[in-house]
Amino acid sequence: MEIKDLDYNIQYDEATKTVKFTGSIRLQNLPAYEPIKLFLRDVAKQCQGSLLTMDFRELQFVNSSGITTLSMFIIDSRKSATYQIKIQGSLNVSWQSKSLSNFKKLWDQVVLEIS
Amino acid sequence: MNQKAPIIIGEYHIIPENLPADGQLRLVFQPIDMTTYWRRCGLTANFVAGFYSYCYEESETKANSLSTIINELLENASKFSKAREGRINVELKQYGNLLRIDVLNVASKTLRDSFELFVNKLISENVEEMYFSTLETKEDGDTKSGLGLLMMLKDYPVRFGYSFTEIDTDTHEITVRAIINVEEI
Repeated sequence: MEIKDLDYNIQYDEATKTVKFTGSIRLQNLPAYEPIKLFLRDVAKQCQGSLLTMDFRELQFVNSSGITTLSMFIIDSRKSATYQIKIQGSLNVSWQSKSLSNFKKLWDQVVLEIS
Repeated sequence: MNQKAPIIIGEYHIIPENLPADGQLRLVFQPIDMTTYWRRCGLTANFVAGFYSYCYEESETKANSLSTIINELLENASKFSKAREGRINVELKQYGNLLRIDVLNVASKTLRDSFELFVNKLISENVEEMYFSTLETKEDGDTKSGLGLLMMLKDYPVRFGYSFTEIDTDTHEITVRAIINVEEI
């Protein structure tokens, strides 16, 4: 499964149960993020009972609407609690070193791997 | 036209107005330039961020932070402007390592009032709590995230000031001023 656009690419690898985000995601508002929200819900269905990895290391930018969409996904995941989430980030990308830890504050079971 | 004195909120005047800047950059566009071709917000933010960050060590880290901040300011100004008579002024002034970013847009009374209320809340309440309660109360179908300023205040070392000027009953100029020590980001 994959969402591709001019500036970004979101790819789900079934074998490793990993969603990899690449590029820059700065969509106009929350409705514009609907396809990404639905994509993540589909991924979650395939990860029931196991660990879903979200790899942000190659995502250069995401705007606050994107952070909101991702946060809502983490909150939904916490509420269902039927799979675990691991988040991978990079210290070299400043939005990641500054903002990724907020996801763990939304759900303390999130495994944060920032290196 | 009976222009009223501006209402100033937050850390608007921490750099004296009469202090000469070391450099400055100005951009003027219309909100429709951005709302029609949304990627322009990001493109402009990346350009301005690169303009200032390349003279520093760890310029990529600084460019990433600066672009994130400038993009949020441009997105907000573009979204919350009057459709007509819209004009967005971006003025950047550099004072040593301090970068002052002013983003001015023209808003309706309704938009001005709700933004002024929000800004007063930002000043008086706990930003971290506001950030998380905004997310926890967000529902499917909401169109606005309302997280941009909260995110910048919470995660980045930026100081904000705001100026509201009534031009006429339904025409208000809003300036969001961000002051950043580029060494710190």
